[in-house]
Amino acid sequence: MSSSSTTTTTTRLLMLKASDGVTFEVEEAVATKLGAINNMVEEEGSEDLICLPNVNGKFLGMVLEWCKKHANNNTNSDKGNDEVNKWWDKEFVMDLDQNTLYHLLMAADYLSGTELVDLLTEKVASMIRGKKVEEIRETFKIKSDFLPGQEEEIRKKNSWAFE
Amino acid sequence: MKERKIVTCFLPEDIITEILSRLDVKSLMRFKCVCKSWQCLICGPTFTRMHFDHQPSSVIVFDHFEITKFSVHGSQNFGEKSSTYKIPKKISNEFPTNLVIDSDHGILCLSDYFLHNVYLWNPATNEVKKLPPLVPPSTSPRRESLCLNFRIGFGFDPLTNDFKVLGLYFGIPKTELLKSCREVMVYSLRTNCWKTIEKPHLLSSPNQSYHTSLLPWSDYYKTSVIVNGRIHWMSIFGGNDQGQSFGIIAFDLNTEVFSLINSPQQVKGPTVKGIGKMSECLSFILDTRESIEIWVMKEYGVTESWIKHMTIDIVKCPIPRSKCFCAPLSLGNKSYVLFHSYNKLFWYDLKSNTLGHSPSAYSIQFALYAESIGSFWGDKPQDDKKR
Repeated sequence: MSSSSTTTTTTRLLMLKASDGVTFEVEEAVATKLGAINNMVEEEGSEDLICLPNVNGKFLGMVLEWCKKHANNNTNSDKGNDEVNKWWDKEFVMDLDQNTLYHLLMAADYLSGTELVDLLTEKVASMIRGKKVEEIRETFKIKSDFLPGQEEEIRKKNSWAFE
Repeated sequence: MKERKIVTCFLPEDIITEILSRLDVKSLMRFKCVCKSWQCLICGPTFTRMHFDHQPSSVIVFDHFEITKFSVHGSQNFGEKSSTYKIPKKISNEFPTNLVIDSDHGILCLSDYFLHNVYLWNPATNEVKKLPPLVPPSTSPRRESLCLNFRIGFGFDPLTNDFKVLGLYFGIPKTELLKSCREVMVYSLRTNCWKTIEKPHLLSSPNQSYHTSLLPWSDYYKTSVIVNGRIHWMSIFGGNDQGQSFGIIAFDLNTEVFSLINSPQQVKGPTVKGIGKMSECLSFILDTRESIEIWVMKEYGVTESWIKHMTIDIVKCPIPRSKCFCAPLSLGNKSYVLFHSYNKLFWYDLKSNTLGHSPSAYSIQFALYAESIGSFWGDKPQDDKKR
């Protein structure tokens, strides 16, 4: 840690342990961007090691990367920060494949990273907006459970939406 | 926490709900076909509300030169038409000129000049509902008395998930004809009928000259503002030149009770130019001779919570000093004052100090609008009454 005279208060480090045993050392201010960790810190107080049995190392790492960026961007309260965050968020989700996206979304949801969940759900929404019914079933691996004729009836009622 | 229901191979139901609530109406109408659980989800009232809350608000504008459609203006590109909604033939065939009564929770309420036909329309799904006649023909007042003294209000009651329309006379019943129309009529979509409620003392006190109040009702404007489950109209009362006060009459869409919201003490009636909605708060705009002021009621219903939100230097301000109706409103992170001048609709961006106006126009009406997938028929099966 640098000992320069900027306003760095002593930052506490937390150890986060993923389901596969991978550990991450993170500044408290970064980790508490996640609601679940914030709660644990507030409730349990002095515990420095937090076990997260529902997230594996790969996705925990990605979630923390996002937290770090946002925590850093927010410390210097420049006007342009919103823009920086937005730009960075865009980069962050740009090349995610579907599988990674879903797992990341589950991880963010489990860790109550509200802002990140918003970002990822918006990304999924943008990927399925305007798609055909068949494509949606394919994407989410859903089997139609309508009785014969039921689906046609719904299609007929909302025919304009299929044009 | 308990195991969450997995509706797909990947994602639990609450995440799917989050994702779907961010989609456009057209996609959602199609995705009802994906599977039964999606259909149930999309048609449910909880989802309808959640979806609506995610929709960006916009201003919907109706130009009498282009009577077949509405244009929709978002916060980022106000003035550049972002999209249009075609008015269904069912409505435009019956009356070529519409009055926009108001819009709430994705539904537009339209009426003809004579207020004989009132329609509810969801532009996003194109669903239309014609209301039963408002006034029995025998008591139907002449047009001029209607325009001066009659108001229709429209809004959504979030507590009962119901849309309501109300019709009321504000004038002092000078003529026998109007005396017979003393009641307030309320329509509920749930019951699909009008009922009369007693006119509150507030609106019928002979000492208060309400005939000059509830300004303005020209052919152009919707003048009501919906905040906090209540419809509001501005009102100037208290008789002659001096001592005229300004207040806002509120109709609670749930309890169906009227109340008066007082203005800050120092505000005098004739100086108020209009009411509006800024960041979900009730707001009005005032001309003090030295400046134009925008006031906001921070805590709904608490007179002491009125604060001066903004002062605009009169020299820089493009808002006309003459009598014209102005509506302060916020869209996303922007705020505007909309006003009417030389038969054009102007929008003054309060942050960038820029002014825009409608291209060519005559009697332009507007309402705050956001899309909704809500259906008039609720969960009931939609029968052959189709668009």
